[in-house]
Amino acid sequence: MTRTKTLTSRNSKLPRLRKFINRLWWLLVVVWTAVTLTFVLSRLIPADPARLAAGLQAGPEQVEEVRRQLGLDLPLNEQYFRYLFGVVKFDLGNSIQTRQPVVDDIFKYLPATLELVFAAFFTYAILGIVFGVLWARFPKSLGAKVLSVVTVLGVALPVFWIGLILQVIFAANLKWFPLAGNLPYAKYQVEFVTGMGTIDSLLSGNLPAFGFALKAMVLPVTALVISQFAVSTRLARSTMTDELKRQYVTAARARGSSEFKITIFDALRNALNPVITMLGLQFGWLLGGTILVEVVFSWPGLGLYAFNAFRTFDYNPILAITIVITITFVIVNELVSLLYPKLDPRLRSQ
Amino acid sequence: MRGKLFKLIALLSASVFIVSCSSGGNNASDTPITAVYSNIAETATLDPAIIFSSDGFVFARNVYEGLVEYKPGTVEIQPLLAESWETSDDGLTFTFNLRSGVKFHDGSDLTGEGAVAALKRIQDVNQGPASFMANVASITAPSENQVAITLKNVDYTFLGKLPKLPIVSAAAIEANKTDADPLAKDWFASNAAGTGPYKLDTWQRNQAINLVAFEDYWREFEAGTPTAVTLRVDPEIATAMQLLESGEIDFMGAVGPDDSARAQTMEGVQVLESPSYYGQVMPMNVTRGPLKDVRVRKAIALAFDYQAMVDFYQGFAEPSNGPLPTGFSENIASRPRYERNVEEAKKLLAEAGYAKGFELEYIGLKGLSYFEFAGTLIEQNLKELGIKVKQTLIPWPEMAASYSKRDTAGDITFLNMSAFTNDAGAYLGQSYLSTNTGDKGGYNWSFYEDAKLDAKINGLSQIADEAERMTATEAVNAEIADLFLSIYVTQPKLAQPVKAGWTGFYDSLDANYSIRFFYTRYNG
Repeated sequence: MTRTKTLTSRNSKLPRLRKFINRLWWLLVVVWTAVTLTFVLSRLIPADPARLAAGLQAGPEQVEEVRRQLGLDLPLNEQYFRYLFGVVKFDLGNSIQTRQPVVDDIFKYLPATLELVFAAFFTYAILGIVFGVLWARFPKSLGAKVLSVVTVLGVALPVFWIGLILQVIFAANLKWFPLAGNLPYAKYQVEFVTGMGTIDSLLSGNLPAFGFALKAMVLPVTALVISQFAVSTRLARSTMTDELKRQYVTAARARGSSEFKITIFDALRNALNPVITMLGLQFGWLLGGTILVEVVFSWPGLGLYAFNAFRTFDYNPILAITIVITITFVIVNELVSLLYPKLDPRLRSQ
Repeated sequence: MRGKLFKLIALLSASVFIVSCSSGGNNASDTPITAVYSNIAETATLDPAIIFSSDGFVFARNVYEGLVEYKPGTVEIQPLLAESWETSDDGLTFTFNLRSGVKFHDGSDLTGEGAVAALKRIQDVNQGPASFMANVASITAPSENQVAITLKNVDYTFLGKLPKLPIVSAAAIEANKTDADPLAKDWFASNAAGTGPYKLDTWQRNQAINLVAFEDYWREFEAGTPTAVTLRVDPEIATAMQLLESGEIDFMGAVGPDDSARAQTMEGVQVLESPSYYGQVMPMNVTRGPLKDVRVRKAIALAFDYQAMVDFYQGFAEPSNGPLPTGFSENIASRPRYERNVEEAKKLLAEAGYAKGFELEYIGLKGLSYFEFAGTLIEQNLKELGIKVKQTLIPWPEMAASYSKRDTAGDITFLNMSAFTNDAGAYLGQSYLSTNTGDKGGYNWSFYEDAKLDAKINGLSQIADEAERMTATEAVNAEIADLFLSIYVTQPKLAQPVKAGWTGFYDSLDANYSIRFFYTRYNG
């Protein structure tokens, strides 16, 4: 009996394992494709990073010396395979500009970006769903009309412009929040541990620093929320409107269930899958999409690092950032797909 | 749960309250003064043997010192780490007597041997500043407090190159070198040991480099001199302008003349003018087509609307009058300014056999307003001559790459040319020597090659008498002007927005945006 049970359990795990390996394989294929495409594109663009790295007054010999040091004098296929082997060993090369290992730079700058991304993501995800549900539930209210205008503006206005407007109103004029930058570690004598100002100031037990770190986040996070909130709100409203028209909702109302219970426990649960899918895609976008926000708010994260890399045509950081964003994108979407059956019981059997 | 929530709210409220109470400006006259400088980009490295852009100069010039320096706001050389110097009779060897009692930030003393090691390191690293040492044959230390530099060829302008060669601590090289890195490049990339008035405190990458006054500096800090410097990064110029207006930053870097005009209207902001040694030029590629003919190039130069370009800068530029910026001499300044003359241009074009016009490509930098304005202006101006201009706007890496090959270079482009030393001949050499054509890594983007002109330019630095050298330079300047290798667009003023209350100068010989804070004063 015990042996039969064990065999059954092992048999049920096998498809899962196969599925996991299959998904991992596809993740590797996606990452390899992204790396290869970015590598090829970066070499196709007519620019000379060695010349940029050597400096304005560098003579031809100096430029050639820098080219040799950077390995840019090697045949293209050799450069590609060297890079690929490096990626396998978790060595993403050195920045042409800073000469520092790119992996170290990524770990240094990613936390500051994640701090913004997580704060923005959870804010607009919650607000988007809540306002989307309210909009669907009360479509003719004044609030619905306001939301209609706000979401159109959110989609239409460039995030860069939103950031500048927020700075003018809330930082330059009202002086409620810092205009730019995040926590100045040296000024507040906070030790750099995680790279997230809020966490590091709490770890140091430094309340003024924590307060400043929070205030510094408000405007960049708001800019990101405004630009993303519209999509999640409109999608939540649309799927909820569809769900509220379904027969099971009419049946529930006929059974005397409360509107609150019908909206939250019946309709919302079924309406969430498309919204969650969109949120997953948006999260991946946010990592790359913070570039403009980080530039406007002088936020020292991966976006600003990417901006400088693009500006100076620094190959390796550009490739590394592509890898990080691709992996995050794939992982988040895998996690989202795992959530579907939890939210919709009809998918559990598939 | 409710208790925890209450505690969290209390914590947040308390911290916000404390921050509100603790925030405020600095710079009270009896308190330490911090100068906050904002730039659009941060230096990629702190190594002064590699630094060669305005992003890095502002760090290097405040933390490191050379044997001599430029007197602020001028192109005159004055002693710095070297108290005095002698030149050998043959003009090849310069012997510098070092100042005694000078300490590096790591506590070591300045010695002759140490200075030799620092200068040799620049040669061995062989990047940016090393280009100023191409003519150096040997560096020795004749005594404990002396350093001697011998040149391969006579160069009476060599002293002007020395402010660009920062002296690092030899003890730091020794302490941080490894077998794989004998020049301690890794260490100097993110650490510093100079003799300058400010030493590196912290570097929060992509955000700010914090410098503090060096307690053992060999000169006194006068009242009003900053005791700390923050070099922060604000990639968006609009953000930096708002920070300046709100008083959060004191100085800005990388502000073009178009932004200076805007800054002039801001409350609590002044525009600090410094002597300018740079010019904006539009090199014409002489290697192909109608531009081979000097009459065609002259016609194009005559068709250009110089006044429109000056008007674009709203008072922060003046019309140019030739290859050299006017600051180099009074005679150069008195040359006639270029003016538009379309009729004369049409006549010249007809003479050259191009009365019906032709097509040209303008390659400009994407994202910089004046590059785009200049492109549109020349497109409109040349239309009157029947010349059709195709505008191509690309990022800098692509633009540099396209001019690194003759077949991909455009017909006309736009460049900001800056003087890096007080040597007018070197300024001309950047753009007109055969050895500096774009395909050889230089900024001779008209690709003009003439051995006779090369000899004249190279010969300037070998004229011992300063007045005689300047006369010869003026003659070469006039000769180049007559070749119409470029349109000499404007000479922008070096005018940077600075918080009211500060006095000082930007260093035009350091790519315009660098400033030595030891020479600034705050009287606000």
